[in-house]
Amino acid sequence: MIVNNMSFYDSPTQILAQKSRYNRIWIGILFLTCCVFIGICFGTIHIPIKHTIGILTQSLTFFNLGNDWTNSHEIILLKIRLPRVILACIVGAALASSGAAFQGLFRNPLADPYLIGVAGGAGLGAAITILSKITLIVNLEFFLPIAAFSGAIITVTTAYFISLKSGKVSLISLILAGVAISASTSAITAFLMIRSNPDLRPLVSWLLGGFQSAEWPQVLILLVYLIPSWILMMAYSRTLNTLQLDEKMAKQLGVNIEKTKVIIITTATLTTAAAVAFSGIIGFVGLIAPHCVRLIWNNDYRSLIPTSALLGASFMILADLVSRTIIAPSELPVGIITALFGTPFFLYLLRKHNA
Amino acid sequence: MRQKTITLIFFILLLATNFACGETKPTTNQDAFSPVTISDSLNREIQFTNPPERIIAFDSAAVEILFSIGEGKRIVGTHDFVSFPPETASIPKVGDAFNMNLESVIELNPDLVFVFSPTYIQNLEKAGLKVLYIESRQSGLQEISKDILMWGEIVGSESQAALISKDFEEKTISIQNKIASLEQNFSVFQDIGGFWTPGNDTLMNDVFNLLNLSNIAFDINGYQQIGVETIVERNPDIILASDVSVYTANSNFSNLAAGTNGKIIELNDESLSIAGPRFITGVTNLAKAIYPEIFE
Repeated sequence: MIVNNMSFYDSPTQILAQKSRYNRIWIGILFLTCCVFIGICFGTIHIPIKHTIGILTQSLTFFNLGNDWTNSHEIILLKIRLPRVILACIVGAALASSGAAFQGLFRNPLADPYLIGVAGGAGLGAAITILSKITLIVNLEFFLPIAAFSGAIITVTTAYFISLKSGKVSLISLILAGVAISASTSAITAFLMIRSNPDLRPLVSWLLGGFQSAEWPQVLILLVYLIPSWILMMAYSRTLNTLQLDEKMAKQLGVNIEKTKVIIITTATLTTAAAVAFSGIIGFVGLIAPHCVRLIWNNDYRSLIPTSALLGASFMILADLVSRTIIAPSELPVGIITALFGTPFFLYLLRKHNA
Repeated sequence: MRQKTITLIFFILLLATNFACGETKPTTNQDAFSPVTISDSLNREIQFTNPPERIIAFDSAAVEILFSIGEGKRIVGTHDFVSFPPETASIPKVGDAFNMNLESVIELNPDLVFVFSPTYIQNLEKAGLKVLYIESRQSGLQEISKDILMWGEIVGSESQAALISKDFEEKTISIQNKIASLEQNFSVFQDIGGFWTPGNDTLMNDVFNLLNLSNIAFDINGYQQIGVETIVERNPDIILASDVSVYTANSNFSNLAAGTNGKIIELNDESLSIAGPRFITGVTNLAKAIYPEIFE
């Protein structure tokens, strides 16, 4: 039936492959929607499901279902919990898709979005901001993301220019330069921590990542970075597939490798830096989400990048839900949860599909 | 021959100054020293038959207490983060609060090393040093006055310590009396940065109790990071924050009772993090900020 409607030039296998690609994305979207709903319904403060639906309908459609909920529940749901869930969703998607793109570009299964220095630079920026007296002059909440973002961009740019030789980037030099610069920035961060008197707990929890201070403006700023990045990554997903062969072979197939490198490195770095600026350094998701997708489905970057993003987003929402409820009314940094709960799941997949 | 004479004269002079020091000591210590036994945080009995003369006080509170009872001159070493009173600037530092440089400690030849954590006890005792370990006070505001008395006993300056300790207690009672006239009990939330807040078993919680405030983090132990939803739900009447802009610039918080009451107060008082004699001054200043109408 379907085959008959397709154009003469598409082979049946191609059509089936394309169809299953879209199916995967739809499954991912469905799963993410469930996770968003779960993330909104549960939290430290119990808000009855009836009220949750009432508040959401009222704010989205101006349709009044009789508001018998308290004002503080409305604030908690719309201004605290909802932006938090959406921020977790976007950050998870950003880290997972950047991780997938880096793994493709570097052809390295250990690549994650922090590979070439984003985390080290951002951590140092945050450490300087939190530990120095700079907050006496500027507003910490406003300055911290800027410092983290700048730190990340400075380290990656340095690594990039070190690995640049006669207009071409050596990917191996880039990884090594990134790892080396990260080591030194981490050393400086550790030095600052050990030499400072103020309480280190706020910095440590920042370094482990979290969404405590999520607000709508952050969601908007992140989207400004993410949407163009995702469009570019998707546009280059076919090229990433070709790159999996070999750099030389890809070149023979007409791939502009240098341009691809610049595009992927820039988009993945900007996305990750923006995510880190608002949520701290959340490990594991960017590394593992793409691998989970690979184990369940396959290595086609055209579906790998979007499905990794969807899985990363879903996983991040659930991890954040655990982090804010497991020891309520206190919270745990989400980075602890992602690694602690993500590892068994990943090992299970690894065992099942590699056996 | 001439050289020998000079050496001899020098030696005699040295002895004389030694004697002079020995003679002045009783005048600075008005009390006769009576041997004491202090039970440390590991329940070991530490005996003092003579007052220690060269103390390494590896703890901010101990340094402040010794200076307050006029015995700061006995301190020969401390750690990097000790900055009060200003005289401590010239005292050698033998490590930051978490790492102790054992070589520098031994070099200073102390007759007592006071530590607030047990990490280095074994190494210090192996080096033949006398160690007193008392965990830094995490709760029990009233106990601070007893710490002052303990140091008075150790260095044989009991009457001076009794004065300072009494002053501490009187200030506490004076705050209590002023607060007693209040009928209303306010709820309070403190943010030391990144939503980290003191729970029910902290010194700050004791301060809140003294000031007739109820801590919204009553179900938290120690210092923990509290959820933002919980802050909004519990709607504190007073917010004490290290960075007030987090609360004043955000409508989620500025619409809370604390925001509408104008009780979002900046609190960055170092004295409230050190369980020494200054602590009660910190409490008084906080009381003035919270209840300006009854504290002048």
